[in-house]
Amino acid sequence: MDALEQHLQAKDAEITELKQAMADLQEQQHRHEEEQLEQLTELDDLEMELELESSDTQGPQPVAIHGFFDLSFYKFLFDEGSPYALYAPRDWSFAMSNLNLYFSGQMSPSLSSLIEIKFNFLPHGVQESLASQGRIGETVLDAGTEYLRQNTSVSDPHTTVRFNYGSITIERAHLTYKPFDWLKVLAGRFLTPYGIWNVDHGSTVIIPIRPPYMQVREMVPLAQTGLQIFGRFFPMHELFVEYAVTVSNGRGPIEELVDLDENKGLGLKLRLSYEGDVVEFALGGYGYMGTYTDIKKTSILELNPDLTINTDAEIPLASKIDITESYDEYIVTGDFRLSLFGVSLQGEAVWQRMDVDQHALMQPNYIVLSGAAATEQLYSPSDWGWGVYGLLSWQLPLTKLLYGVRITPYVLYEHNEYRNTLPSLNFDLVYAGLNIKPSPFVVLKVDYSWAIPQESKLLGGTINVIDVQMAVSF
Amino acid sequence: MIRKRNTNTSANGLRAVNDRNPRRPGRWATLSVSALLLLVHGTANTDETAAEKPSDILVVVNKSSPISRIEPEELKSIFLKKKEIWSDGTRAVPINAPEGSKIREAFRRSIIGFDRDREETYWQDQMIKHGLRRPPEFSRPLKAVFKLRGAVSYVYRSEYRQNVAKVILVLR
Repeated sequence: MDALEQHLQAKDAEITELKQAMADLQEQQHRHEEEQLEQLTELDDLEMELELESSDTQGPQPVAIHGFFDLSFYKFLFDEGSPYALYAPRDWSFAMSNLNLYFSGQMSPSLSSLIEIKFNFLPHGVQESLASQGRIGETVLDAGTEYLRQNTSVSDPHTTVRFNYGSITIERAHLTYKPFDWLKVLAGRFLTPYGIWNVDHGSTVIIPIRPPYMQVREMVPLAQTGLQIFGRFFPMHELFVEYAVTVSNGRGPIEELVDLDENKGLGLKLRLSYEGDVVEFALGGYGYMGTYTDIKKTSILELNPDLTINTDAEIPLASKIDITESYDEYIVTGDFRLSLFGVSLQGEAVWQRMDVDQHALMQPNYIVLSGAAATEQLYSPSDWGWGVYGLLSWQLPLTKLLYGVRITPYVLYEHNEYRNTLPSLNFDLVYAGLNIKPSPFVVLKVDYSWAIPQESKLLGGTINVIDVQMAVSF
Repeated sequence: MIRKRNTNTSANGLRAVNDRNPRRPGRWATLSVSALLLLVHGTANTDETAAEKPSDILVVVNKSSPISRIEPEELKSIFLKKKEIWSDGTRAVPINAPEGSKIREAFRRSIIGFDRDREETYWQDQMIKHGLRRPPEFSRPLKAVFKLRGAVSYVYRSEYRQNVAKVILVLR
């Protein structure tokens, strides 16, 4: 028993010693940590502050400038005398289509701004009108119109040096408030968050050179002015659900500044995407409804017989507003993308319906294409159209062999029925080409495209284009 | 009593250290072992240090962060700016080690799954699509994490200091 008690006492002493040792160790560790903390907080604080100031962190950040541009060398191929010659250049030409500058600001952790400006050489050189003739057998009917081209050439009054002034397009300019991943609010001009092409939109990002007809014909408004509420949910790792609600002026002749009706354009986007290490998949859709309205304004002056203003009239200087064109439009789009082992398949579809309230005069070209006499006055009917494209690309597994150069052959097919009532505007489109990326900043593309009208007899057959492009981001 | 922390092994073999309750019984015992190792190696480590190589990479967040662990996939989303806000509403500020450093390369390979060119292409594309800026780089990420609420970065175990940042993932 004594032996047991002694043993217990010895153990107690041992435990006490161990406790003391642990307490000492804890104290030593705390001292050590305090010293380290002190060193970290005091030393190089200035260097740290400087680093923090110049980075994407917490306070207001300097505006970052970046962008992209591209240079193309191209030639249209079509039959002699084809109507395409009226709109497409016949000879090999260089063209600078895009020079977009971005200005992005970070005012606070949750407040940022983005401005994207596109600089154009246009409108210099744009055709204003064509000289047009009608032929009845040997008889030529001259419409009396002249061939006119925009000329923006001006001379500097100081140096007398001549130059062509260009224009700029505000592609987007918005402020974004991001309190949560699932709730972000954007105000300003924004790219319509539909599909893949319109979001990618930069020539270094998109794979082919030329956009599909659904983009060219703006079957969905490419950009809108108003508000966008959007966000992202994470139901599982690598699985994202995105949404966006858009409220804007909708489509209109001056929608960037003025809505000519009270009906706002409303849109809803939903998108599900999975981004795994091996496979990436995305499925999305966007619906839009809005009203297009154009108006004519007339000032009315109430006059006396001697042409002086009639101040006795209820409103001596009055106004009258006539709606010259108005239609409701409903758009539904769908898109998907699947990437696996370097092979990528993406597709988009657009369906658009226009219910016309106030019919506008049809463009003369469309009148002729509709089969009516050129002198007739026709009005645009209610209509619908649709388009679909698929783009298949394969990044060849040669990147290591080629010292990091990425080569991606691709082929795109599109079917576009722009207007149900104007089948002569329906086209099938095929692109085939190579996208070569020697560095993350430069893309070289070689592309051959076929545009096949469904009524080829009317438009003089197929129009083909050879295109080479260099696109650079910076 | 020394309790082993909860660990979670992901599909790619990375192990997340889970310390949901840092004040639970046994914490001090854990610290004492760490402190002993600290005295021997001159570094402060977690209770799993004995089994870990010095080349382990620790993913760290600001001490004030309520985040105690993170899955590699979520970390990837944060470093690619697909996820921008922590669960407590703080803005996530991913901080990279300098381009060209070994730790940056190791992190990119194990978490992001990109090579250098692909990552550069990704940021060029994001810049053009959404105007997104890439995460900043710091020569001493631990300091940035210490300074910035919401910051997340990665350091070698040998560079890690307790009381400066909190470990939420260990990459082996």
